[in-house]
Amino acid sequence: MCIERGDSIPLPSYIFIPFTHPRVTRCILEKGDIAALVTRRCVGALIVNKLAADIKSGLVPVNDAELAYLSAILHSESRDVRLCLTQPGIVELVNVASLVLGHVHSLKASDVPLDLREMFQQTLEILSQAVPPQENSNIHPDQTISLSNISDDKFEPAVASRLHGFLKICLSGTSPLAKEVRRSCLRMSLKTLWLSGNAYHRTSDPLPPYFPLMLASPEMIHHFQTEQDPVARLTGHCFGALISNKLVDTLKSPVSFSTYDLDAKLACISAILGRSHHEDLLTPHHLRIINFRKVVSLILGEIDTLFTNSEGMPVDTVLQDMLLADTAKLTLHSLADHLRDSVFIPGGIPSGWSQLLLEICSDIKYAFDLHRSKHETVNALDQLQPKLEILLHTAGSTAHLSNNLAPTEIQSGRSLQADLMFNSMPKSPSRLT
Amino acid sequence: VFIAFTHPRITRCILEKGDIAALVTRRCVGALVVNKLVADMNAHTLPVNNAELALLSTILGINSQDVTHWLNSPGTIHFANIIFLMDDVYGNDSWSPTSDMLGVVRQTFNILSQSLPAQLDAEMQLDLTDIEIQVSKGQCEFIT
Repeated sequence: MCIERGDSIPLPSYIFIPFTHPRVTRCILEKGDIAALVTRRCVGALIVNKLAADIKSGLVPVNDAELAYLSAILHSESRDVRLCLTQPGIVELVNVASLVLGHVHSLKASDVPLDLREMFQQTLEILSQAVPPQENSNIHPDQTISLSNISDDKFEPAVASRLHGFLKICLSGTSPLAKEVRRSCLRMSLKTLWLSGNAYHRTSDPLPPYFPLMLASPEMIHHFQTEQDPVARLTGHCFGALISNKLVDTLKSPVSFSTYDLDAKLACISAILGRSHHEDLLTPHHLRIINFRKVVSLILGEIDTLFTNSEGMPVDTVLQDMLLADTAKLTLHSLADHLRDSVFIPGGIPSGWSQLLLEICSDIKYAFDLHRSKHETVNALDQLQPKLEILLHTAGSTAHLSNNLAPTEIQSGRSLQADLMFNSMPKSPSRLT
Repeated sequence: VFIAFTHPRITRCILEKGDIAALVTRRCVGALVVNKLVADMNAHTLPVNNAELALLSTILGINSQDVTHWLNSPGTIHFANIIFLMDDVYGNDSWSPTSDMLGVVRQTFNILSQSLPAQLDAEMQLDLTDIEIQVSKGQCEFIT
């Protein structure tokens, strides 16, 4: 109603006051059945767009409540949202991308009621009108088309394309944006990518080709990995890990990255995992564990970022960046959950694995607890590495992996090996307390 | 009536869990009490005291300071009251209403929506006239 009428009429105070209250924000972010979830997300996104428009036009004040609402719905820091609001169309683009990427396939399912689909469609139409046509001459001509003119089946790729274009503008070294604005825009865009990656990772929906071809192309992955801003870099790593894992799901047989003519999917996986295993023939399950291990290493490498306060001062006593910690934690949990699925392993999960995976999940939970000190988080993450080594060594019979076990040991003694190694492991992160 | 409803003993009853029918009925009663209390406060027929603030705070799930702030913005509590009721009722995973329950919810929404600011109420009423609710095998379907 108020939102459809355009920007000239501000959101009435009796609507924006309750909507910017944490009680309502919590309602919007709650899960539930598909109808409740989609309705909440659509309402939340419409309010984001209208609030952003009113703030930009000076119709409502930018206060902490409004920023808190926008940052909660867009899963970003208030400071980043505030800076992105200074740029035309960015909050609107991130908003529509958050709603579309990762959720459209679920809504195309035959059991989704028609009225729900219509509501979602109408919401997208309203949101897309607020995203201005991209007029940067350096980007692909398709991106100059207004999103509101695009047919339903092309809408999702068009949003992905627009986000890709904007990501390129945000990349360090070439960005025309001011330093702090660039950083905030990149953080918000990457968080949106991570959310969509995580949404796809948790469903059986196939990953759309625009991920390996555009949003997670080797070129983009390289930019994320070498990004100067540590928050954006770690978010990019987590996004890459989820995409890599999802792409690995489509592999039917062991692969090698030693050839030069990798298709887009393998090139993407290779860019994310790096070159440490390029000479090996790797099964999908090995790839998942290598991916997991790499993310743990990357998080450990960026640990100072999680313990730096908003003034940029290092604080060792308690986790500071909870949003980033949440991104890291949920990524590791998603990867761990995937490992539990025995369908990926011929013959089922080896003996000892279930307990080991439970221990891994417990370590992750412990590492990112709200009151954890840096030392405790590092210790808990360190505990993951030897456990992942056991999983890697006992995952299958593929030889030539860079480990200390001979192929025969891997093939013939994997259950015993897993049990022996598991029994020699410390049993619980609680010893750290 | 209002002395009884503003007593913590009754507030606790309204917020108690239970089967879905009890929960929906309690929430509808709570929402109606909130609406009437706020209407009376706005009409200055009742002084705002701590008992009323506590009731509004408890049923709406916000602190007394926010209640006071919202009371100063006409229509805010009426609108929020509907949102919270909708979320509690329709957001409940075990929501599988009988026709009686649907009747209670619909009548409650009709009453609450009359307290909304005129413009919003008119548009909501317009939307509601296009909707019929059918109950089939315990499932709620909205047919436009």
